[in-house]
Amino acid sequence: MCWVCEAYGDPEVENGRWYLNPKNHSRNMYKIKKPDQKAAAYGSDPEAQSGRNIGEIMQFRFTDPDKFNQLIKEANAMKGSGPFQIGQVIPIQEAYKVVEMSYPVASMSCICRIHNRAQEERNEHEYSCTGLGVGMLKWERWPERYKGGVNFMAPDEAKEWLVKWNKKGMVHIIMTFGGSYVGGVCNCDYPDCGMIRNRVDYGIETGCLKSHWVAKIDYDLCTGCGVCVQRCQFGAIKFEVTLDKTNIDQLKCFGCGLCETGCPTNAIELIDRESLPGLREVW
Amino acid sequence: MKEIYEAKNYSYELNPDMLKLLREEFDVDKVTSKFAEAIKGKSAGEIEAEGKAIFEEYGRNWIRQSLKLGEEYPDRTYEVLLEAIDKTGGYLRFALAPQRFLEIAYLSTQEISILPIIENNVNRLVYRMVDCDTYKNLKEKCGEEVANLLPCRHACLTACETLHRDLEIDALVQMEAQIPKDGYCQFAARRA
Amino acid sequence: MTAPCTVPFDCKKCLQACPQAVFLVTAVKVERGKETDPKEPGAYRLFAPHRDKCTGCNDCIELCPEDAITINFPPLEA
Ligand code: SF4
Ligand code: SF4
Ligand code: SF4
Repeated sequence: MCWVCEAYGDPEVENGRWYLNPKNHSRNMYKIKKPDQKAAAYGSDPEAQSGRNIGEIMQFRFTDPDKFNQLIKEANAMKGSGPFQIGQVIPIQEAYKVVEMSYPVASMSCICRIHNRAQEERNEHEYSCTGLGVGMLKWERWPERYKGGVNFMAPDEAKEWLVKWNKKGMVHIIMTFGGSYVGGVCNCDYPDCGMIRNRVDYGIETGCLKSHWVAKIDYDLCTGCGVCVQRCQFGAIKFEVTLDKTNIDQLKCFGCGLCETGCPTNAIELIDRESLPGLREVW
Repeated sequence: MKEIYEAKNYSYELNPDMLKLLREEFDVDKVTSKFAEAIKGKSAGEIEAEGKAIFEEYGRNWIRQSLKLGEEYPDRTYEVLLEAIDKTGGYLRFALAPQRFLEIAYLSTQEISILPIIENNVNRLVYRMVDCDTYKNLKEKCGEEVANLLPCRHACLTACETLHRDLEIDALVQMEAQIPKDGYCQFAARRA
Repeated sequence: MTAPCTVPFDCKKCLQACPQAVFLVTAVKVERGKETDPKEPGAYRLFAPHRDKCTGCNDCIELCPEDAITINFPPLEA
């Protein structure tokens, strides 16, 4: 079973999916400070910190591989309590459910792309990330993290927005900010998304867990057009020349569903990861 | 491309003056003393009736004043919430608009630093009181037996109902847990 | 790599050109209520956390106006 669901899911709510459990979307708006307690003048920037941490861990990759592996292991064992947040890939169908339930939903600039490509997205036509919950009401506390501000969206608008990024080929990742508190649905790709990169290149799994789904291809329907090969951010699909069709390696598949939404003949279906004995412990 | 964000120093927390005004007017010590006085020598049935009368009235006034002062003392969190609601449609006022006034009401009268919000989504608003001062006061002044009847629940329930009615939101209010049995009280407003 | 590179977020040439996306830029301080000015020297810092991915293509070195980047590969073993 997915360890995040085990810790934060409710078996009676949405099949136990932690990110569809309303409790993980809920937070108070206000806090009474102690009389002598002042608002901190400087904040931390979790995404930047995790990028710097990767740099520190990485330096051992070639000089001291044992230490490197040990540090990666430790980071994963922290299960989100350390410098790496919890994130899980979700297909767009589940992202719809999230934006229907959570409030407010706002588009904002992607923090990873700011850090990794110095790419500024300064208005709602450029924003590529989705923030969720009461934290969005207080974005002006940390304008450095919300360059350009936030753009509140009604659920239908938010779905159209997800479709826009899905069409372009972005993977949706549900992200937490502090424990199991869901703070966003990111639209991610390799290499500018820190979470995908940390997982694919360094094995930090916490921030980019595989989804509860996995893609399955119907060879009778596949015409071998290759659209899905282009859309997969995880290199799970290859063109199998002898069959003149494509082939999905389900062990590599993250279950993002991009191939499914792109396939012109509906040859791809997402099936429950846990229905396959060989995959039910692969997260 | 927009300019760099001009530095601003907003307050996102509740106005302390407002909290003080509410605390003075709706002191749990006072209302529990009033109740303790009123039930002296009364039978069980009468105690329930007294509790209902006293706490319902208290709850109604408490939340109405929280609503009134909450509007008079806005903060940046509320201003941005109103912007968001304006942009996304009034239907989505629930749950955050009522949540704000509940937080004002409880944070002003109880010794808590946050009001635990269990759910706040477009369908349900659920919150919890763990270490309730009203209950503690009742226990001290009227004994555990009377306190465990939770006459004070009338205040919380009435407050939550009145709040949604005054905000013109159709919601069903329920009590989902009670301190004597569950260790905390939990109230839920579900969109009707 | 840091000394002569003072305004990486404003310059961003290496960040956007690197085919291997080796670089990372972060604000030195995240200040309440204020956005960091990319033109302020020293306000942002450039890192190369993914330098294990560098192929030595030299694109960044050619683009860097400050000659701030050096790359070191171990010499081929004889
Ligand atoms: S095979 Fe399809 S579902 Fe799996 S990771 Fe690739 S695009 Fe996503
Ligand atoms: S997109 Fe669909 S039809 Fe095209 S190759 Fe992939 S599975 Fe086959
Ligand atoms: S030399 Fe290395 S760091 Fe520089 S652009 Fe090429 S791959 Fe990137």
